[in-house]
Amino acid sequence: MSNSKYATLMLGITVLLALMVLTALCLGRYSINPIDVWNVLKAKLVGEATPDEAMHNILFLVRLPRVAASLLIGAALSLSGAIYQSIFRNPLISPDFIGVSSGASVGASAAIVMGLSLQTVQLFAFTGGVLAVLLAASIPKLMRNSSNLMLVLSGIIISGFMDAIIGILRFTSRESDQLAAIVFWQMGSLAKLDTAQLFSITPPILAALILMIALSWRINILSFGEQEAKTLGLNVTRLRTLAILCASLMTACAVCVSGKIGWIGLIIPHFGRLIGGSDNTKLMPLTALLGGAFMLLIDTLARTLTSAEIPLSILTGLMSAPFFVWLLSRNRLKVL
Amino acid sequence: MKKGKRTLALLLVMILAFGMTPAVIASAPMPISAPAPDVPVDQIAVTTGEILINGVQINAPRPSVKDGVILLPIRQIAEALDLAVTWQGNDRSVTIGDAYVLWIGKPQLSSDGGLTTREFGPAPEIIDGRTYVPISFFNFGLTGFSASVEDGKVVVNAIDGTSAASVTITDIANRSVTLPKPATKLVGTHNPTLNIAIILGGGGKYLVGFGNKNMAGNLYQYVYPELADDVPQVGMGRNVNIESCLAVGADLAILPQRFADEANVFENVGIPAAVILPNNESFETIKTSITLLGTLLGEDNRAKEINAYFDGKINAAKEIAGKADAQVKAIYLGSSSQLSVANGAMLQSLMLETAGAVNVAKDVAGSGGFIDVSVEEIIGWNPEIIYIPAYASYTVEDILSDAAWSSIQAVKDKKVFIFPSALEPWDYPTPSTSMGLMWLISNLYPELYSMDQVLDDANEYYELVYGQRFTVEQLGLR
Repeated sequence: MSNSKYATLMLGITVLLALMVLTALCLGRYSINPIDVWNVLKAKLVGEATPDEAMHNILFLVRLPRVAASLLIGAALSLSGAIYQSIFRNPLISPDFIGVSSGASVGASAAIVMGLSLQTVQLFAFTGGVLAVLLAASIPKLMRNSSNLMLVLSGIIISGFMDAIIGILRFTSRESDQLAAIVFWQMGSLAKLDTAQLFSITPPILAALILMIALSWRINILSFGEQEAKTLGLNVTRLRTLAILCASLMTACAVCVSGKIGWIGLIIPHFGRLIGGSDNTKLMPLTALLGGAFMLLIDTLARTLTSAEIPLSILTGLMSAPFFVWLLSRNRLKVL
Repeated sequence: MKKGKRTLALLLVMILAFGMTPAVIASAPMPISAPAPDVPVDQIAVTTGEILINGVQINAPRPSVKDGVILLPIRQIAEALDLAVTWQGNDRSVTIGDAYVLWIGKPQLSSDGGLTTREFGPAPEIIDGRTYVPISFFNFGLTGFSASVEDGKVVVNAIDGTSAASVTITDIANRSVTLPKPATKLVGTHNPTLNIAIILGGGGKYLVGFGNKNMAGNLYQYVYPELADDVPQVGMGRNVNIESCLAVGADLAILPQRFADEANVFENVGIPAAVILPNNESFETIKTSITLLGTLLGEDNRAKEINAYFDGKINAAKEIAGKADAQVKAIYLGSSSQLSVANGAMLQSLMLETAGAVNVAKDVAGSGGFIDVSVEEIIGWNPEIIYIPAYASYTVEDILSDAAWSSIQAVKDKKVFIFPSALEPWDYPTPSTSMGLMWLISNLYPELYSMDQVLDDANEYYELVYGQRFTVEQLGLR
């Protein structure tokens, strides 16, 4: 894809994203009248007292953080997926494979069973995710074989083991409320998001995002293959470790706030390749934007369709699976 | 190099299979029906192999235990009961006495020439050339007999159907439950259901097996101190350890309607089961539960006394609430999250409305517990008072300090209250709801009813049921 076409594409998507954000701010169970939103915004800009206190709280304390969070989390998960798929040259890899989501689920389930507060659940989830990645990374070291295949295998092993532990936690949880809380967490939701949580995950995700986009050219070279990349002078081990670290950090931050969200890290990179080609320097920013837009759409549907919050994984699954079939039928599953 | 790759590929396949299995099992939905009891044949409590008919041991083949069902040889037992037994080879049926016919493979007993058919547990089968029937055949198939396991022996007794001692009810699941004499040893795993037994017993005197002890609450420390050390936990929720129930000699299992399918698990080993707590809760269903279990325990008078007190209190509450001039907008939040509410189907909503308040979340769709809603809906409803359960996993502070809730009237007036009591939940489906109702009225309309009067009501109730009185601190009243 030529540079000028790419620039137009990115501009178009950014404009679309801005429109989506404005629409999402106006949608919700309380009121969907854009005039109400406009009145509150106007008052805030001018510095007057707000005409509608409930609308003000909802706009700035409920909808705005959720919109921001869904953009951030969507970008983080999609970019992680794109990185893994490029490094491991495997179109079926998603951010979950290395065990981050499963480890975070274990941490969150343990905190729920122990009856801890929401902030502690988030902390436990993050710690669980990081520990799972460290475990998955240590198995190749034990086997003294750090090839891609060994990393994938150890990711599968750790994910499977973590899922078994989640089974134990679900079995011992209190059926009346804890079990539902664990199941809800495993399906993903931004309903309980607060601004403190949002601010805590924004710096690491943004930092990792920027770093990965800056390194995207080198990841291109990595896509040729390990041997070829080495002969071209690239320090393969260091780059791969850094990339996996950044991707895992982004995924852990995203998952510890929203719970486990599936499919998005798998599908969006493929969609990005479909419209933008496989050049990582172009693909990575594109994937981040597309992921943010998709997550925004999903979260807005989740909180407006019915009076109860629909878990996010249900919506991502329902929308992604047919799309994946379509992608397969168009034979567009390329990685390079 | 090729050999290494093949080994690695094989390893990959094995690990994939290994890795997938726990994931599949862990992500499978929790089973909604009772799992088959997993008791090894030689450990179920039919240890001695003796069969006693009306107290006399008979010469008969050993009882057989298969898949948690006790099977007994029909011929020897029927002949000991003076019933002739004839085998019909052409349709594989057995004629017992003059009127009964049963078939191999059919769990039905036909009597009076096919006029009546009664169903009982699993079907009869042939073992070693003999016809075996399940133990529930004598409890639910034949009339006038009862069969159970005592001290490792199978005991079958003829009971006089009109004997003064036998008690019978039709439980919530429309099952007819007949006991030869009132039950004295109850087991259960659902705590609100067990609470009914404790109320009727004025303590734990009828219970020999309990559910999750961690959920027992403070009240039991005072009225049921033996629970902590002397009473075994025979299961938790849906998971029942049937062997423990047999070991403690249970003669009745009590269940809520949502666990009604577990009744078979008990009946297959000769323990009668009664479903006494319905899913939809109201003041009427509380009285029904007390009446049903009261009959099974032979405590009819006490059940009537408690229900009469309960009725009196509900009527008094309605009268007082009728004097309120304005209806307060209230909401009752759920236990696991402040973003869940009690809708019109829940007991908590009935209590709010009876106390003269309006439940702003009444019309939220759904049933079977607290319903999750969006925070925007709660802000839109703008309740004047918020109640949270005593067993909530969040605090009043969490709500008052949440900036998104700050526009709600109840938060501005700091009218967020924990529903009593510290001793036991007054919003569980038991007669304690009468005290919860009085507390609600006093909280909503202090000028109509004072907290002192609520304290008097509480002590009146606890005196009646347990013979004990409690202080304001113990009750956690405000």
